[in-house]
Amino acid sequence: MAKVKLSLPIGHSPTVLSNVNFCIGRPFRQPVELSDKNNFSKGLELWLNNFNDDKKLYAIFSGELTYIAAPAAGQPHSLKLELNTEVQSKLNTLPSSLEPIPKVVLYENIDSAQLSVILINLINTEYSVASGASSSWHPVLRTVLSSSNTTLKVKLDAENTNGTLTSYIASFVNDFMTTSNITFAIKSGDYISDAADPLAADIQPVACSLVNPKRVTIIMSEYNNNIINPAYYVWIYLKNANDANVGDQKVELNTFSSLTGTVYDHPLLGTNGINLDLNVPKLARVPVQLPNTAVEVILFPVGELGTYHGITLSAHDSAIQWRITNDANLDFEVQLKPGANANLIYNGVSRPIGICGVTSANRIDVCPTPEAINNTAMQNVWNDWEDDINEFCFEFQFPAEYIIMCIQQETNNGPRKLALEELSQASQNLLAQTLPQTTIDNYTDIDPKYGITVPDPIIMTNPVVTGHALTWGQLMQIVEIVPSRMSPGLIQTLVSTARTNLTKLAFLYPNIEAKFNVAAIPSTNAGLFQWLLVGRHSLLVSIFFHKWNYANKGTKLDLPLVTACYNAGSINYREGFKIKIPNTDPAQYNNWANPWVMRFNGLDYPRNTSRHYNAIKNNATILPRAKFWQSF
Amino acid sequence: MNRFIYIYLFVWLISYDCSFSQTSSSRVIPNNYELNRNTEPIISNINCIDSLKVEDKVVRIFKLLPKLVFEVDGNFYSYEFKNNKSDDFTNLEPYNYIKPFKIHLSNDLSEQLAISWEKSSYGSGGGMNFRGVIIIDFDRNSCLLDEITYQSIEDFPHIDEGSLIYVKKKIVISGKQIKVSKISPERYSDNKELQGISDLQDGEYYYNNHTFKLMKR
Repeated sequence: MAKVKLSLPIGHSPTVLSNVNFCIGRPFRQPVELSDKNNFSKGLELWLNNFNDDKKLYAIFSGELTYIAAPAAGQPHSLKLELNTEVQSKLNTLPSSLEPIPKVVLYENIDSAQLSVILINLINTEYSVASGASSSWHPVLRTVLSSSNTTLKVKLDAENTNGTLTSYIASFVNDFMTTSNITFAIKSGDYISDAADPLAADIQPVACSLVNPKRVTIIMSEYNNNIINPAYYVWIYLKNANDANVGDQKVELNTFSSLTGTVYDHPLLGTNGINLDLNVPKLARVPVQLPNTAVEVILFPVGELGTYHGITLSAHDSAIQWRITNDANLDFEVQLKPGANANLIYNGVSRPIGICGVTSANRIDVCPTPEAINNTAMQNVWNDWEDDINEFCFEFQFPAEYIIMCIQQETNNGPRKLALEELSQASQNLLAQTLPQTTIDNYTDIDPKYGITVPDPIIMTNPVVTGHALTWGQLMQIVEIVPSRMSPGLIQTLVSTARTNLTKLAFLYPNIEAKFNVAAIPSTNAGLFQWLLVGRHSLLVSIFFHKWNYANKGTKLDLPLVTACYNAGSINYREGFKIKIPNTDPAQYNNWANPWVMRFNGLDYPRNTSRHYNAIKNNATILPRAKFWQSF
Repeated sequence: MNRFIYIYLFVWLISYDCSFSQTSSSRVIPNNYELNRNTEPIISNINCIDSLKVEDKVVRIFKLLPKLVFEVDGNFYSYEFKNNKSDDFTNLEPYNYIKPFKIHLSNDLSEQLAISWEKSSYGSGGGMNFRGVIIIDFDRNSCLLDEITYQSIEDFPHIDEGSLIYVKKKIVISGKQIKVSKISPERYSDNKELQGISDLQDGEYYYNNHTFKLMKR
């Protein structure tokens, strides 16, 4: 299976070791609003020689280029490289990355005047060698032109016949540079531009003594435009390229370089570059030492979450929008979607949407303003689990606010809480192959059952619920066969979900027990059930689960999406809720429209968690080591 | 690829819950009808991508990828989803099971591969299950059919009524014929919430010239 080609952005040659002369500029830091922000770069800041090939820039991955002209004088021109879908798909198969794949590589501060010359030359060169099947052509030649409904290659053939090849290629590149949203397909390793002169505010590093240098910054971001350390991506992909298991290798270094021990000899990857010792993990977000604090923290810039936004699922727009205020408060706020009806109808029942200030009866309450109970609860959770949450959220790089609120929502801070879900008929049939029918009947006699507190120790002959026949021993027999119906522990992952996540976690940390100082992970489901009743264990699983969902299920670190995915397993559509009224016929259940449009287990889930979140932000004593921060 | 000359006609049945069962009977070659007659529409690689590839024997990553990785006759293959049938298939959930079977849909000696699979995605309050079937032409290395045959959404009933929403599409591979039919929802159906289920027209399909064709009723 073809591997993803990773080329270095400077000093690229597939056959010869480069001696590119350059300096690394300011170190990377995610764009958080701190007083020293100008000492850091949003990407890999490179200072290059202004001669030979040193200022040449190359495509890191195959994809589509877009030219972004400087919005004003004194600002940089840029090239945006969006990875093509095939590359994205292949990178998504790496089980060894905690982060979402990169979607965009931005080359900030490129030489606009040289760009057209370089791209014209690229087309001329590739056209001159293009022959045979179209699959062998350079991707730009396979571009289908809307004007002629033919590929660029076919069009160039016609222009060549007419003697107008040169002028047509020039016009093609001119269109690319002057018309927004026109893209230019390129391959990994293509020479795509030159670095430009530094801007007026740029300062060459003191130790760098290049004469008339050029400067470019390589900025890499994921699917929601959150900026990730480029060194992290290079590290994770070169680690993969050198995976001892050849079958796991999905990436190959397309730039000539060899390893000496664990260090590459290419200048950019060597001791003068980003020092890519493959044994030293590079972090996606670098730790920050805040003033007057003793420990480093991981800060997550609010980024696009700071703008009011909703979600569209299955062609249904959410009736409300939300944001995290991009200021020191970092509040979660909700408003009606502009133009949306203030009332929502579900199954013929119309109700007002209860944003903050709307107090009418029977409102669909989405107001995230915390109440006193939220503040007390958050403090209690933090008091009990601060160390564990800090350790795991720092390691996995995930905002701790979401974990604290989730604990409260799921169990009201109960590490030995248990939920027993309804057994499907298929599950009962499976159990009947092994267990006596009375054991199954004893379970179905009480299911579904919530809020059970598991005793410590568990006496297997005792009943799970007083007055009912199911014993703990019988429950363990059922768990062993059907682990997908029981949620034990502080943050309520199903036993089956916990198993899945621990399997995924083992790809990143082969020795989970030693790395995270947790008890041996049982191989039996009944054993795992009891393992999850230790709060630290439940937290390890669920914090990783949250991070996995961000990296792979599109939760964007966005509160309603994060909670929907954690609660429902994925982000999908739900039109409304039919709330049970005791002792009534189902036809008379109350109907409630769902302004969030995301599937939750209950309509109050996003509202409660948002109130918990704001209670955390109102509490000056809850200071996690991984948390949101104002961005710039 | 090992080739087999089948003495018996195997009947693979994808039952209503999409699990395979297997029986055998004397081989019958239907040669008294024209496959091209009165046929429409054609299933022409709908929802398929031509991506059956030989994999290294990497058992460690077995089932963890967003593609099917499976073993047939000691060889490992992978099949990548096109990712346009359901939002949920963009993630890396593992498969609960993958069952590959060789079948013969043509009168010649060509082989096809049928694969049934299941994956699920559950959170603290419920989740979803998917099952599907894929048929791949081994000789041409191309996908013939790729359909989700079962989708369920479940909300654990903490607060509201709870719901078990199941929709199923029955796809039976029987000899050289594929029968597609809709199964009534088990408990509750709301099509607005179930987006991925196969929309193949009900009927009996035959395989000819590397496509499936629906016999007119």
